[in-house]
Amino acid sequence: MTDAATPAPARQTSQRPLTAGAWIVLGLAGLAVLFCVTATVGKYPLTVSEVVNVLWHGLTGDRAAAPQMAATVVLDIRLPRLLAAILVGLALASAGATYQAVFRNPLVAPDILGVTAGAGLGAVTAIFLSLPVAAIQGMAFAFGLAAVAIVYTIARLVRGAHDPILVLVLAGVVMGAVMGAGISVLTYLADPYDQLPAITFWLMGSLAGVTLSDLAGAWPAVVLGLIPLFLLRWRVNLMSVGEDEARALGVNTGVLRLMLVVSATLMTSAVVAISGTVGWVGLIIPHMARFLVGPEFTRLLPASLLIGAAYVLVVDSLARSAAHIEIPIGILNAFIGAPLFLWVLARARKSWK
Amino acid sequence: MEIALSARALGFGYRGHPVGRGLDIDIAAGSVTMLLGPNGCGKTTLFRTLLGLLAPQGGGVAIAGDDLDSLARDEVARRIAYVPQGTEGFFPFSVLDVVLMGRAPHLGMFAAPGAKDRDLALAALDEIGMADFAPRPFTAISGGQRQMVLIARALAQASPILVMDEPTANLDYGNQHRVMERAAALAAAGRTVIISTHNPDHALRFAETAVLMRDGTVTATGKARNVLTGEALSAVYGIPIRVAEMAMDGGHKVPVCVPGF
Repeated sequence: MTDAATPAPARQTSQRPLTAGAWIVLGLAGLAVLFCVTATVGKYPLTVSEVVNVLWHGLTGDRAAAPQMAATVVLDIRLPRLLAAILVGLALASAGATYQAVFRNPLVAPDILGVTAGAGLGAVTAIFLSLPVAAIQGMAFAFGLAAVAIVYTIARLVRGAHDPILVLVLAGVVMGAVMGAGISVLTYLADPYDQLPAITFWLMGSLAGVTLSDLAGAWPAVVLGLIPLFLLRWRVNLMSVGEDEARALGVNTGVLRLMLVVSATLMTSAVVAISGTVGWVGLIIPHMARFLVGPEFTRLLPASLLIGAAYVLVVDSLARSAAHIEIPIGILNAFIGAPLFLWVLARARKSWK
Repeated sequence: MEIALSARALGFGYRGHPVGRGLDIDIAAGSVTMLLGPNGCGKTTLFRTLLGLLAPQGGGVAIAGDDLDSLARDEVARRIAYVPQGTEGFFPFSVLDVVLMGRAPHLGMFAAPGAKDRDLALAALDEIGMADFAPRPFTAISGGQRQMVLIARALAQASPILVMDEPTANLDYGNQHRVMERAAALAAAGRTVIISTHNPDHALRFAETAVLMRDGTVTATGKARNVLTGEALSAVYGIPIRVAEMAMDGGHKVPVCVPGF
């Protein structure tokens, strides 16, 4: 090439002074600091040192040694919620990064395959039937997975000469519409004094009611989904170059896509079951992460995970402290997420050719 | 003559929509073979079938004597590499990351490329004169440079056979020639190169063997200069075409193709 013969000077930015491992340790440390800071936020004001003191006593099993009121606030009220924020953030962000790579589309989010709508219908059905909280979560989880299974089956039945990814995304859109209609029917029929507020609150998303036992059910599913993503992290890159190219590079695309979609869906369903529909995180966080570390998935996955956890931690702190009443995190997310997304979009547009 | 790739009674196309059938072809190892034919004659469909991306609708393909159907996906990739016209990717991977993807068939399911793979990828970039581009975003370089990077990826894949689907489409005049020279150099170094092209001049200059296709069937195959005659090209493309020889300063002659004279 003429232009190859006289190359522009190579960018020096790739020569980072820190290794990837060092960045991850730094990120985890930052998250720990953020955790302690957000734990001070709330109706009962605490200092960072009080929080650290209580957490230390709590962790070492010596709870009685900590001030009683502070211990109750930090360990019983705020801790489950902060842990839930971290879990929801890291799960949605890593699921979003995975979906975007697998579907070769920077605008898809974890709800693309009808996961969120399916989980929503499951939860709303459980609320409509006045089932206990555990059943609401269980049904959200089951319906979310079922929605994706149906989408996948439809896509396999109608595939052929069509682009398999296009078929999958379209089937997901249809499934989302059907599930949405189901939610509308139940909302219409629900008891307006008892069930309707619960349904509305759930659909707007909130971490207010999350307990440690909810977390105990959700985190194993998130970890179970994260393990394949971590193991396959380099292969994920190959999914984003195109079906024929990936197969010509020796990738069994059908199997790999199924593994990645199932993992990401498992994580999404697990957290949607405890938090309700928390939008935007799965869409914008991978973009912010890509903006910082590039699209290469071995770097993108840890970056998305850490930024997602930090983002939900901060936004949920705003949700519970910005006004006299609790603001549903879904609403705050849309107000913060939409402008943030437009900003990232404007900055990143150049590099998408 | 050692045969790198062969097809016997090959039917190719899609279920219910056959493109071609009964195709027999033998590609000699270490040579450049170019495939020519009008739009829609089935070149891309044939390539996808030869690469195992599309199931044959009859007959079969053999790579180095082994039936394509009997080989695992990654084994096929270790034997035959594909250089697409462009890539569908949206994300700004660095040039080095794109070339590293060529190492995929040599790595285990859960593995990531290591130092050895990095060295091979950099060597592949160096071989095509693009070493300085390693850290640049793939989406921010020119079409000709991208084509070279995709060739480097195929080199990193270390497969003895390279299939290039219209590698000069969308390239300027100079870059078209450079890509063709590169392909010829790869064949001279022992690789088997199969190229589809719309430019008979390229085949006359750089190919040992030419395959002329029309409506899913091979109309002529053999030494490029014997196959690509004015009459044969006129019949395939439906316009009057003449092939002449132009004397160069050094005394040697270069075949040129003149359409619609």
